[in-house]
Amino acid sequence: MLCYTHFVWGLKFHDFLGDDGFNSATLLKEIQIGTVPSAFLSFWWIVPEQYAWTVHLFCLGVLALFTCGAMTRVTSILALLITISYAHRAMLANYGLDQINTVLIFYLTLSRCGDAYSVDRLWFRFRKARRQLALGTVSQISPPSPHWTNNLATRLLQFHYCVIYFMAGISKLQGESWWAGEAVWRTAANYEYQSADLTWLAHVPWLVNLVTHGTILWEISFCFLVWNPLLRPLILLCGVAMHLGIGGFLGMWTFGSAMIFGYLAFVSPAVIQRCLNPVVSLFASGTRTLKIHKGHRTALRRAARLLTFDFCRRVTIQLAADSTDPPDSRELNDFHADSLSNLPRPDIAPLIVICSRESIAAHSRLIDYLAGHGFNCALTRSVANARELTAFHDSQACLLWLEHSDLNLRELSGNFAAEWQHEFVPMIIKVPLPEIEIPEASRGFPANIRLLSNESTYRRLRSLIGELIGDDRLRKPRSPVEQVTIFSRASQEMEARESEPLQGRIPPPRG
Amino acid sequence: MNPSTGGTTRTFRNTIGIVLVNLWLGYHLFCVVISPASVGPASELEYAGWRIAAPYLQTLNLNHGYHFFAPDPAGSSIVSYVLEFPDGRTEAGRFPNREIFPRLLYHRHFMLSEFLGGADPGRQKSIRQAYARNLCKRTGASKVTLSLVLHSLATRDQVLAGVKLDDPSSYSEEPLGTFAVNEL
Repeated sequence: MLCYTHFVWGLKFHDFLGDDGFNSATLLKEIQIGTVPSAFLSFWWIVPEQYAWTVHLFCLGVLALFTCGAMTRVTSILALLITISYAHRAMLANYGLDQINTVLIFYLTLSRCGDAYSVDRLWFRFRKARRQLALGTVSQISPPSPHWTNNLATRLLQFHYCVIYFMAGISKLQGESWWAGEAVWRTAANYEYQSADLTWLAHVPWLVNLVTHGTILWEISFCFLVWNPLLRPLILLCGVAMHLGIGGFLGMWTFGSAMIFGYLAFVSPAVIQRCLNPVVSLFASGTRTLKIHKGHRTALRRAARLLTFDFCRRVTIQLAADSTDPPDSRELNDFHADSLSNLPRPDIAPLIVICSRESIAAHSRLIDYLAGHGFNCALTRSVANARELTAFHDSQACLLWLEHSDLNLRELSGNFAAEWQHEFVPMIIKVPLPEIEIPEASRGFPANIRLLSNESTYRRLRSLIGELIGDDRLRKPRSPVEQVTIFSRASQEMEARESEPLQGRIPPPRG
Repeated sequence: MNPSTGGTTRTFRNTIGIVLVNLWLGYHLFCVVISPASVGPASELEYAGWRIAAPYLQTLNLNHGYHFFAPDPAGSSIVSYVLEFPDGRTEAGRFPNREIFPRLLYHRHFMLSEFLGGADPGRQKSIRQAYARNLCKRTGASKVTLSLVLHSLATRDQVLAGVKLDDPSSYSEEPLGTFAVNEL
């Protein structure tokens, strides 16, 4: 609707938006006197005349992207700015359609409207599928997770619609023709509004009275009855009928359509999903089984594309580890599936993923210690990368979270909680609490997460890692026999470090 | 950290954010209600409430009364014009007219004429000049004569008697003046 509305502005661009058009700059500045300057907020005031058409085409492009649900975080805000700017600039030619456009786009901007049925969602599915395939795992892409801004926007739109209809209804009560049951005739008899002949209504005055009184009753009762689940479909259907009538007989299709679109705020997402599923399935990938080799990039990209459109979960991907298996670039429906459990386990040392925003130098002693005990270390600033690495290495990896100032488990679990269940990631979190308070503070945490006091020692850290990844060698302290066999200077330093607190001194810079 | 809340702690920043969101929410809901409620006739209290909400409503283009076809559906206003060109020829026209397509563009022109018809006399002068300037510049005319045509509504009895909705007798014309392009 936004695209169409603004496209039509462009058909007579200079008439409606030009400096010397019907909405001339001089006239609007005169109307502006006595109102706040922002009442005429519009980027058209600063766009030079010679670039006006280019800007208009750019605006249409932005609205087209927003319509498709592309880059919605940005395009929604731009669409709101565009809608307001055009409406303010062409003020004299505005009517109900512009009012409703602004209301709808305002609430869409508040919400995460690009999370579902959008290009953004497709792009997310593609990136997810590609990442999973690269890690050698294939799991279902979960649906978008709920967000409070969506609830807020939905409720605000519902409230706004209630206000619109209630005020529209009671304002009509000021008019004699609405009380007398003649108002609908007066509307039908307006030649300039009429797009279909309604003069036959003169022969059925009872129908005119009925529709007139019914309109008032419906508008005033909307805000009370629409909340009743049993009455809601009827109330909304009456609204649809009214707006279709306004569109069909008064020619205001755009206004009527925009109002009807807003009714979706009153329809449950499950119902919308059921209605859209048949349409979505038309674009979904067909039933197929693909066997691909993990190193075959082209096949992986193709598989990622298939998974992107696998809305109906009909695609099965089998990742072959054996390089003698031919890479599969065609559909193989008659292959027997290799079980993923037959894939050889990577034979690597336990991996410690250190997640910290500080530099490597800040953790050099820790890394030296861990490396000295046979761990592989990876340092990353990104929680998402850390979780991916630990998930890939399964129980042979442990995530060590060092930033106590960012202690927020919801942040740690990330935006996609359904997929990155933190309870499957062995995790140690360093907290600014004394050792004695750690047991109490640990209550309520799942078994895979351990708290570590910043007063703890490296030995304690090593033991915790061992507990989490199930390695008995790490859990037990070194025996006295092991201790006396340590004779190298490096080993002695390592041994001494066992008793050091983790919050040790940062080594001086080299050189 | 509070394990009983699933490990999340409401920081001071989160608390401030929640308070601000709720304050905005309350103000927004107030504005949504006061906008149509303050359309006359309204009380001084409602006008005062609108003055609090006006900057927010006007900036976001949410300042609407939603008085659709209220209090009564009225007749239409049409702008009629006669263009005079330097070569002496004239051209008459009016907007809105049914040749304008698509329908949305027709309604845009319709709103222009309705705005002129509903404006107070002081504002009408500026609007007339703006329309005249655009008509002259767009068409290359040297002069334009504007009229406001008021189209009254036919009653049911008239229609039953065979009168058409666009019967010439239902139109009344009010001259708005002649405007030369070099004076605009």
